[in-house]
Amino acid sequence: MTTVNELFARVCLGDEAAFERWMVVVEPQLRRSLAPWARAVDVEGVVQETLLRMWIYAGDRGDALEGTDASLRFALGMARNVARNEARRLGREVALAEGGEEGAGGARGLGGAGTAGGAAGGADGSSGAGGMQVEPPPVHDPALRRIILGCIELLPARPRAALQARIDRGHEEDDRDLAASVGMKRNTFLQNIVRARRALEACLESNGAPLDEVLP
Amino acid sequence: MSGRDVSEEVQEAVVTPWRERDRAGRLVPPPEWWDLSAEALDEVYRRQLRARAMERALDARGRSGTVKAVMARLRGE
Repeated sequence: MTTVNELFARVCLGDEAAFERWMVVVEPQLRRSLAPWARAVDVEGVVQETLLRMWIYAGDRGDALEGTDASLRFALGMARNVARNEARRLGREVALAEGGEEGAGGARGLGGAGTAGGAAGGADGSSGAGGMQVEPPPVHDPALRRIILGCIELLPARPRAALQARIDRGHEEDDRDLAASVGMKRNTFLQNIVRARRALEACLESNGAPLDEVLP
Repeated sequence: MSGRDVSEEVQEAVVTPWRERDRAGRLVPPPEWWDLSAEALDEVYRRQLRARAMERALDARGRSGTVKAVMARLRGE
């Protein structure tokens, strides 16, 4: 049984810790599959919405999914449908047509996936995304983590404070609140994050760990 | 307006995993998102990829800001 299947079986039983781990495994591929939609929709919002709907779907009829990595395949189809619906709602289908639609998901036959509640799939309960390449689960690299932490430590105080606030609490607070927590206005906060990211990339490169090459 | 013409600060404002919800319960992007050109949106997408990957690399459980945001929603935080 694959990691994705094992985790999702527990997710269907309401196991939140398993859902967190399942998201850790599938999120990178889910996000990359939305590259063709980047000009039409807010990809971050689509990824989060898809993951939330997968939690609901798992509790509702997730155990109907069958096959290797079926939940990931289904999530890829759902993400695509969420993105398509969002592009339509925003009237941004033109941007989509210019950029092309075919993403990594390639899911078909998911009529209704991504609609309210997200409870829909192929008629046979399968994902309907045959032929898609499932990527191996991301591997945690302690050495890379040490290098990144070392580079963050070398940042000037204010860029470091801004970046650290974003990394630590960016999921639960907006930038205005994060900025206030480190004694900055929002614009200054954003400038400092930009400075921090630039310096961090240079530092990683000088340590033989260029960001684009080492991060999954 | 190309991706490079838009200030990096404006793009960075959209990179955050934080998303408000509107009255219908939909996740809404930061206001800057609406001002970005197609090329700038491509660049934001690349920046988000790198930011989420770095967050994963730094977290002991491999969680990105996205995963943490979803878990927070789930738990009603």
